[in-house]
Amino acid sequence: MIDALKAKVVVVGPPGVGKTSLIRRYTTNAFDDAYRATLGAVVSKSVVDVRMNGYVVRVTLSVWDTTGEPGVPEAVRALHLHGAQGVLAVADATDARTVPALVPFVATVGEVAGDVPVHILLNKGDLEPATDAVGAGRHEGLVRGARVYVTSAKAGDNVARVFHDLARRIAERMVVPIDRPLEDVDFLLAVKCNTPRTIAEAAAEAGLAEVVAEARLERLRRQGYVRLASLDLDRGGRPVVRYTATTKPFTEIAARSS
Amino acid sequence: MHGLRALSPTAETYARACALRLREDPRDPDALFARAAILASLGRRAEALVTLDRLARLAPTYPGLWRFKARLFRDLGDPRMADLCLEAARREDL
Repeated sequence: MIDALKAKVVVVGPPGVGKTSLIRRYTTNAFDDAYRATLGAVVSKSVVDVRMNGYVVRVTLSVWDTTGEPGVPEAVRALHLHGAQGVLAVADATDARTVPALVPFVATVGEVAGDVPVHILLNKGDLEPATDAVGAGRHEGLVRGARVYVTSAKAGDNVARVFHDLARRIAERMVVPIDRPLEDVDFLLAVKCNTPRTIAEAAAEAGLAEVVAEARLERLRRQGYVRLASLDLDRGGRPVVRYTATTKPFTEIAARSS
Repeated sequence: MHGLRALSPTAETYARACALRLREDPRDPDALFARAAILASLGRRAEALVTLDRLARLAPTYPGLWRFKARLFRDLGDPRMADLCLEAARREDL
């Protein structure tokens, strides 16, 4: 079975971090060293097939490459973010200053688009990533519940992965709305997270596919039952998150059982 | 563009980048959109709309164009035109 969805993804971040290059690498598999600042926005389309527990969701992404120039009126940034269902916040892996520079961009995302999935990308990973940039990126990810990736538009590292993962998270939210009642398996996942668990560990213990476990854990996180305990990067620069249970009681489940 | 002194230093830099781009190519859609944004931020909404009309003729699907026009029409007290622009924006959004 194939479902079809459309989603708007907005790419934000300070100037010169490689937003346009990342999109070019993803959509045309090309790279160009020449730099020309984006003053407004450019939209590219891309189709991603996401496998979700036995069926495929075809997600057509409208990818908005937006200006990172300082001095752009806030109203313009808000126009670009209007209706966004996912955001890629891009910093430079070799320049730690670009990570805190993401904060105002991500704050505007929250104000305009609400609680949408955000991935933080530390781009230019083909150069030597600065330890403090990676540390700052992980910290931001942990605070904001965002996934963090080290990417390289030049070498192509993790570029397709980032778009695919974001499309999957968008599809999960569309297919499984946050207000759908919790089920016993959600309770089980939260209990397993009394000790911090990776997605793979929680999935294995609850007998779920990883994509399903991640979708449920993310819903639990947004509802406050679990939080991110840690965010590491594997050798490939991809995120490894651990969830841990909060003290919020499972009133919904308890009410149903009584 | 007159009145740049009313802008913050960073906004002034953005405005100068936009002016430079327009000198190179007066039909550059990015720069036209940026010019409209700067004019709007200076409160010169009618001039911003004229710039966006020009952009609409050159690049009618430019990202954010119709939503921006809708906002300006609404601010200028023309809800009927604002609604028409929003309708166009919804067609162009995805």
